This record gives sequence, C-alpha cells and structure tokens, in this order.
Amino acid sequence: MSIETKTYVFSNETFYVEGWNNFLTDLLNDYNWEEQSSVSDGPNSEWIGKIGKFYLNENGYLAFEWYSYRYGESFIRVRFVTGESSVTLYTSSQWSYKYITVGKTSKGLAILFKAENDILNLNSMQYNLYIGEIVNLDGSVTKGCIYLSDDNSHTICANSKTSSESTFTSVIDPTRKSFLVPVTDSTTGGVFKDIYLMANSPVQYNKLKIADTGNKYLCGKSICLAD
Amino acid sequence: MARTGNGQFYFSHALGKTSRGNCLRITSQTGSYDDTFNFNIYLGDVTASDGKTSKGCIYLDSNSYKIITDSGVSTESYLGTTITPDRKAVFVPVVSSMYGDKFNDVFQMRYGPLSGGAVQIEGKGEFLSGAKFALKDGGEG
Repeated sequence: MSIETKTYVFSNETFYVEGWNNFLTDLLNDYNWEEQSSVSDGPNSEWIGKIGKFYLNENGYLAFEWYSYRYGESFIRVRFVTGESSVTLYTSSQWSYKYITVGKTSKGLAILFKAENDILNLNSMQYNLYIGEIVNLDGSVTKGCIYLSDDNSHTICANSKTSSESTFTSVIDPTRKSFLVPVTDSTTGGVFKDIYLMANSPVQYNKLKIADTGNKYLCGKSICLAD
Repeated sequence: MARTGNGQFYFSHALGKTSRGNCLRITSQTGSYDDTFNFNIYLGDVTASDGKTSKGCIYLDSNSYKIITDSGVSTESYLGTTITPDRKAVFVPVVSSMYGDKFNDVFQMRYGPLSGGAVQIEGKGEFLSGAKFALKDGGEG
C-alpha cells in the first residue's frame, strides 16, 4: 500500500454533520479495528453528528465525539474508554475551523486533530494521534495508540491501560542520518512495531524514504509511522 | 574514586569498568568534591555502517554529547532521560547521526531505574549506569 492522506475541514457555523459522519464511516474502513467498532447516534442533542467507537482490544476503545453544550460553540473530543473509566486525549478549542487529516499506511494510521480560527493556518501533517500494533513483553501483539502533545510528551493507550511518557528531543536536520527509536510503553514494556520517535530525521511533516533500506515512513512533527 | 585538592580547587576521578568497556567521571570544581558516579566519558566498541568495528568514545557535556570514532566527531542532542524505579527500563543505542556509527554496549537511558550504580535488567543482564547513559556488562543480552 502506498501512503494515503485525506483531510476533512469542518466549520462551526454550518456544523458539517454529514462530513463528520462521513469521516467516521471512512475511519471505520481505514484500519483493521476490532469487530465491535461502530458508528452510531449520540445519546442526546449535545452530540453533533454520530459517535465513533473504534476498539483497540475487546475492552478498550477510542471514542471520537463532536459535541456542543453552548449554542454556537462546539468541540471535538477524543477519549480512550475502558469499562466505566475514560481518559480524554484531545479536546479541541472552539475555533471556527476544525481540521482532521487521516494518514494511512500499511502499518497503521496517523491522525491530525486541530482547530483554528483561520483556514490558512492548516499544516495537514501535524499528526497528534498514531494507531498501530504493539508487541507486549510476553510476545503477544495487540493494537495501541499514541497521543502526542505539543511538547513531545505523549500518552500511550494499549491493553486497557494508559501510560504517560516524558518528553523527548527530536532533531530535524537533513545533513544527519535518520535515527528512529521505537515508541515504548514504559509502564508495561510494550514496544510499537511500526511507530518511531524521530530522534534524528532529515524531514518532518512529510513522507520519508531511507535510501539504504528503501523503508518508507509518514512523518509528523516528531513521531513517524512506517509503511 | 580518587580525590585531590588544595582547599580552593577540588578534583574528582572515578573509573567504572565492565567486560564491555569503561566509563569515567572526571570533574573539577570549587568548594567541594563531586562524589557522584555521573560518568561523563564512556569508552567501548563501535560498529560502523559498513560493518567494521573499532573503538569509540563518548563525552557528555551539560546540554549535548560528543561521539568520537574513526569516522570523526559528531555532536548529538540528548534524547531525554527519566530516572524512576516505577517504570520499565528503556535503553536506546548510542548512534552517531553524522556518520551512522553505533556503540555496541553503551546506551542512552530513556527510562532508567537508577543512576550512578549497577543495575540488573531482567532478561538483558547487568549494566553500569550514570546519569544518562549505561554501559553493558557480561555476555548475555
């Protein structure tokens, strides 16, 4: 599979409900989610459009929601839900324009959630959510996700647990060799198979091909996804 | 660890040694001795991108570190280290981003259970850790 990206733009004023619902339906088909995954109506009128539940394992799922509790203000929210508890990974500001870009490779997904007051500020590859497979210490393989904050700290959700990871330094310099470090869950010891910290990388916000190996990556700010 | 001084300047020297290499702590300061084992020099084997092996050296400065190998000198940024006994150890190979040379037995501690001592990592063997880097010991792992 080649690397594919698709950007969705929503405006507060017109509540592009149909576009949001299309995004959720597309996302359902973009990745090999666990089979309980679904796109369904929200519980009440505060929810604009549908709710997406994308299962990483049989007990934990990512909830993608667009809701409004005040007239004229709406928010996109991403939560990791396990049983009765949940961790909010992302809540958008109320800026008028909300962007979502989905980057897709053969190994997983990289998704940008962003809200701006100006449509010109879009950088569609500032991915902040990565989804892929994680190898656990016992050798089992499950699905997991990484939410990357602006300061390079990140939250890993896998196996019904979350782990807050400290910030790291990423050097972007086209004169240096690439040095990619697998993302590791320091709480459980699980290691993502195909998602890497860009300790050194010649590019960011772009596709990267390593000349010596032919390996391809979809790069965000400081984390990349293999293809 | 050795200490020398004249009441104004204090010099501290510490040597760590494993079967895979050496690490040193060499400091001078005023006021008191530096008795930590926060090693600032590591010596060990390096594998170049063409597969050849040689000896290499790492010097740790406050905001960056230098890798000295047959290929040349490369200044690198620290990835970031968290010392906590509550997490799994996450060790990352030390690589020259200028030349691609990789140390066989010296690692950056992305997460380390302790600094300045010997640490046993289940399934990986024993390491001698400083504040940010660790040197492998023994034949396993």
